[in-house]
Amino acid sequence: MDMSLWWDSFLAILTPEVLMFNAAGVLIGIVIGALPGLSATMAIAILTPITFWFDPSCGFAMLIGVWNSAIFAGGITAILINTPGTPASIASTFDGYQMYRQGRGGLALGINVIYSAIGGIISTLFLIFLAFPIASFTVSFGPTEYFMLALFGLMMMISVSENNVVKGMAVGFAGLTLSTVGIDPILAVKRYTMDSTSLAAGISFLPVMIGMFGLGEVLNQMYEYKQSTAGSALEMLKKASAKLGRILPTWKEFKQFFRPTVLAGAESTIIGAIPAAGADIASIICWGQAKKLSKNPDEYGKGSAEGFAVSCTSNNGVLGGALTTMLTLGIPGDAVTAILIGSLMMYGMQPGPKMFTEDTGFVMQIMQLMILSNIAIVVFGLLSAKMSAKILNARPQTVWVGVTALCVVGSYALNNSFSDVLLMAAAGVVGFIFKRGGFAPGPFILGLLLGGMLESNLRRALVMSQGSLDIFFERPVTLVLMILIALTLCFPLIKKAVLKRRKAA
Amino acid sequence: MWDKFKGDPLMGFIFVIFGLIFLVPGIGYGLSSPGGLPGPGAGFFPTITSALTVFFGLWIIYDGLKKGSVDYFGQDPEQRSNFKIIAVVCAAFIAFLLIWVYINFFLGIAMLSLFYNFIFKRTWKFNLIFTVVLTGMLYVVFERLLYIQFAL
Repeated sequence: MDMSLWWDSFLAILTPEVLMFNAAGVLIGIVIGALPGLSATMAIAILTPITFWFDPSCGFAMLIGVWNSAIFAGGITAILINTPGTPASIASTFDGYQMYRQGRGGLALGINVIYSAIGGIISTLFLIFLAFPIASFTVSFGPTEYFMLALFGLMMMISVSENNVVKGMAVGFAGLTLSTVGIDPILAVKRYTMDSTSLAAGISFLPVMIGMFGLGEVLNQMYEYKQSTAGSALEMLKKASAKLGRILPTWKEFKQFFRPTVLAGAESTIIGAIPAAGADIASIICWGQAKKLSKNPDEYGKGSAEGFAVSCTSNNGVLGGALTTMLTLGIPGDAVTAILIGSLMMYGMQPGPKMFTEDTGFVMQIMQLMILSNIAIVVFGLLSAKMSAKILNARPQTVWVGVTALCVVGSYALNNSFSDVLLMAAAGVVGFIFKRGGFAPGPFILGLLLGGMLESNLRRALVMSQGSLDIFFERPVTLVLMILIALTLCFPLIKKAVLKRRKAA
Repeated sequence: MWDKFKGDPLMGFIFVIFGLIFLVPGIGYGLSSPGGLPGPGAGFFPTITSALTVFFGLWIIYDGLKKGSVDYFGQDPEQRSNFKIIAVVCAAFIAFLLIWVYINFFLGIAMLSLFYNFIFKRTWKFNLIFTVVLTGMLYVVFERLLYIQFAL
């Protein structure tokens, strides 16, 4: 790799504007991540159309900042009220809340900041060293590989969707079907447009995403709201803010945490690179693994600072892995990376191996922004550690009104299109019904996003083979991916059978 | 009888209808390329995806009828008024869109904020401050700094 390119891209992000946008992103992420019910996905979905108006470096500085900090800030509620702010912080409740109850809440907040940043930095280092070789390997990929890759990403998302593969499949294929509205990618035939020019451009996935993850979530929270529960949570917070103790771990603790956290950082990066295997899965796996290897496994789950450091490292450790898959293959591993792909497309870039040759500088900037965001997390996170408890005092109603207004503005700002606002509102209602019925919205969004890629590559492959399906069995990478897809779909059935056998035994 | 078709079977039915809406014209677009060109036609992919949507919709109906459905809108007594609130929130949102189209976006957003805070039983003082801050922030950031034109 040419070091001068790295240096140039580093200088490009070291401008006051980029640093300011990155810092703003980190601060927004801290607030959003710390509020239960507001996810990194929602934040990025709403902010993406807004960042389109900025320079790409500034826009991405903000999005990367929000993404990294919202994931870390989800741990704040996990510590203080035993409720993960984002799904990524599930494992943080195991030890974080126990630490707080033992009078070590400040230390837990400090560990959350420091080890989330360490996890993010470790995974970004993996990204920096592995992304370029992976991208050069994938240059040889043809339509069959891309078709299978996109299908693999979608199937992974479906297989982990709310424990119901059939519902996930229905939602995923509905998303794919909706993606066919507009101009056909090969023959330029108008499909399902009803002679409307706005439909000829296809269904834009960003308003749908904002609606499903923003407005849909707000409606669902309104529906589930209970005055009594909200009241007791506020009481808990008032007590939590009262006494937190020291924030920084001692040097002895740093040394003690070194091995398990580095291991967790590496493990979570690998897990993060697998499409749909999110931070929640990674942090639970890493926490369990660290417990097995620990000298004090009995302390895990009872307020172990080591166990907590591991879970914090792993929830941010997946981000570099997810970014590796996204940048090198152009495949979104989860909803956030799906939006980031959309964001790169808005700037005229196509994630995948081509980006590593055509926009090398920007790829490097994204990697460096990841490091920069983690440094900003340490600075702002430690400065605001004790204050962060106060963020949680915000009433959900305040958040609902603010989020609704931002959903409207976010969906409109992209194309100055009122029909996008109507689309967002409709998607919000659909998202609410999906939530009520246990249908995960992720496969729908991914289907809508990947539909074009799937269709064009499938049809190109069939044109190349004169309509023969043999082409999918002739290329080794395609074949491996096909086997992986089959395993992914069979996994829930295998798991069910194993559990049944265990129960019977 | 009707109870059996609520929840998952109804949702499955919606997926079937959705799939059929796309399936029928999809076949009409042509499954193979026109003029003897190699490869599939414009209707090939939507036909597959919509047919699979219909298939999984039917599966959801079957599962719902056989195994029982998730309770979509089950609530305890404390939550019962929430449904009414959601209906009012949706009606207010439609009113906001009409105000935006016929009068002005910022007036609409201010009225929406005032009304939402009112139904969420916030104090008048908070309501006014919040509405002024929210509307002002949206005006300054989006209209003045980002030059987004909200006039339709």
